[in-house]
Amino acid sequence: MRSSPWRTALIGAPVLALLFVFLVLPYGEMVVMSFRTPANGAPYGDAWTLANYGRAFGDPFYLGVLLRTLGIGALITSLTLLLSYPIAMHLARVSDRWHVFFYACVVSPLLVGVLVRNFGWMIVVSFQGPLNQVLLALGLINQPLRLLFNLPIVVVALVHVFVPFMVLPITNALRNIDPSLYDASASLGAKGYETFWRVTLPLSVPGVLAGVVLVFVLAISAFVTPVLLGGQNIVMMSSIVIQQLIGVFAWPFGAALAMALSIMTIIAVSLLTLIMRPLMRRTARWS
Amino acid sequence: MAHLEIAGLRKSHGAVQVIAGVDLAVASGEFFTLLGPSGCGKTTTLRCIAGFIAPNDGDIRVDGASVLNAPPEKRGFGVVFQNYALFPHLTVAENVGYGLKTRRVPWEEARRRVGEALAMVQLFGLKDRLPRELSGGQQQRVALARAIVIRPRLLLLDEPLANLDAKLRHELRWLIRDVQRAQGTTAIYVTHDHAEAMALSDRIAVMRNGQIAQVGTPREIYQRPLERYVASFTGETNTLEARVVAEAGPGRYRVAVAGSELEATGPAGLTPGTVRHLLARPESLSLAPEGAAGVSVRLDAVVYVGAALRCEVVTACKQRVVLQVPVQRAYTPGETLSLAIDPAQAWLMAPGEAA
Repeated sequence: MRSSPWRTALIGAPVLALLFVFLVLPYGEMVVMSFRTPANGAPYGDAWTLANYGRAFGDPFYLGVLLRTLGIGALITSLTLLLSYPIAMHLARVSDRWHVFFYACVVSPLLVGVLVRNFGWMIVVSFQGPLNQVLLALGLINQPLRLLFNLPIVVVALVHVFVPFMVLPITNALRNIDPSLYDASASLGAKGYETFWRVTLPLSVPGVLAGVVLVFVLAISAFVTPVLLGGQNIVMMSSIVIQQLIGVFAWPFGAALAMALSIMTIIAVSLLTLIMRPLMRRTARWS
Repeated sequence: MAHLEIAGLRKSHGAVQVIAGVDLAVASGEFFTLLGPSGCGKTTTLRCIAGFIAPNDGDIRVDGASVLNAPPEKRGFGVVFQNYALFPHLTVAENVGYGLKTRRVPWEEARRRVGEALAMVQLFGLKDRLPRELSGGQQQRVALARAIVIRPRLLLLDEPLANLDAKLRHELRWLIRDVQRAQGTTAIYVTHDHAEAMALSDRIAVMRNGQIAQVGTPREIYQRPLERYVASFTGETNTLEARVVAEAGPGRYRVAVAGSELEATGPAGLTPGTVRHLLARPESLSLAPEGAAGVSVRLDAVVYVGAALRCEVVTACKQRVVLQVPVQRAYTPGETLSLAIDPAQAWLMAPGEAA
């Protein structure tokens, strides 16, 4: 039987329908909602307004939360990258037999559910928790440290779970590098660090870019970890949005805040891509 | 003094001996080829010289000094790889200039030398292209330029033409030879293609199972192989079992082949009764009418190949011989003929397995 374009389209139809109903429609609804006036007894009123955006970008508190969220996202992404690159280099180099083992190790944080993982952190770092006990027993501290409900624990917990999202694309990029390039580089007089700087790093940029975008987007939209481990002290955008939607029932304003975060994310990711693309070539150029 | 000396080189991967004792001496400016089938250890030997792998035993000396303790980046050898190994993110000029940059050559001089190297491989117009925008032949030219621009002490080439089609292979073969001559660089060339080895080399080492079977000029390897393996690896051969009857002069013998007696050349000191393999290249044989001097044979098949007739004949001892004869005379399969061998080209070699 002749396969027509319609037949092929039919195969994709269920997925498209699913995406349309559960992604496109809600997003469209949210965009529309963010331009609406608030109303009592209904999600939003009939009139159109820009006031929600005026408040989201104009109010120093919300703007502060927005910028802090992006800043924390950048911090988490940088730390994850620094930690993941060496792991990826190792993973790209090991034999296939060990590859599976290390691969499983790297992915292991994802095998634990988000709530269990965060409660686990809470227990480990709590005032009476095992970490404090160990540090006290070793005599490194005199009294237990207050490790919970601050920025470092949120950052540590998020970096921990985001490492696989960074390691896997970078490993992939590194494994795609022809090993004879390293031989060629060495034969041309390049020492180990020069080969890394001029060959390995530039050729892994596509993987780094993928990992960075993925982790950055995940970091700024994180909700459970900042709420459970950061408490009231670390307020990130997701919790403010949810507060507006569920706590205050200010749906149009909540939608505007979510849109503001999305817009800033798109800008940040675009900038990053623009910066990193030429990096791939420039690192190896004539200085 | 030899420029490159290899003594007692050994390398094993687990229980497998990849190089089982290789000794070589290569003169300065020489084009030296390691020839052998895949798995004979020729590439491993080259990689040991380059410093990419460390041998288990033995020594590699350049100008009398061992290089074994130097990492590849300190050896100053140019390497051309089978898969080109160009840096995909760098332009042609940047690829060629890579080795000058690591050597901190001043920018102006580096630019001039890159230009000269690219001109030498006839690629100057493409200096700002990326490797993926070039054909395979052009990429290998860039790789050659990149290896010679650093004025290497040794030029190491690992099957550089294996990934190219026949026409490009021919073109590039002469380019490699011209560039090597022009620079006066000592070159070590690895290949499994005997025609390539013959055309390019000053001397050839034929390798088998991690050892050197024979070292010699292309002429020696082709005409005076020590054993059947070497002969079979360097072109089309016929081998006939021959028994030495008497010495006819220094290095000349009368031998018995398939019931007839003929004259052949061989190494000195063969005693009557010794059984050897008689090497007869297709071009050293001719056919004459029945009754003429030579071995009596029956014509089995004739194929017209354009420049000549390709004949298959069978001796009384059922040994099959292939030869090429001029097209003038007509032959009919089944007729009995006399096979004559040019005594100067009939060579007695040690018995053994073919490649």
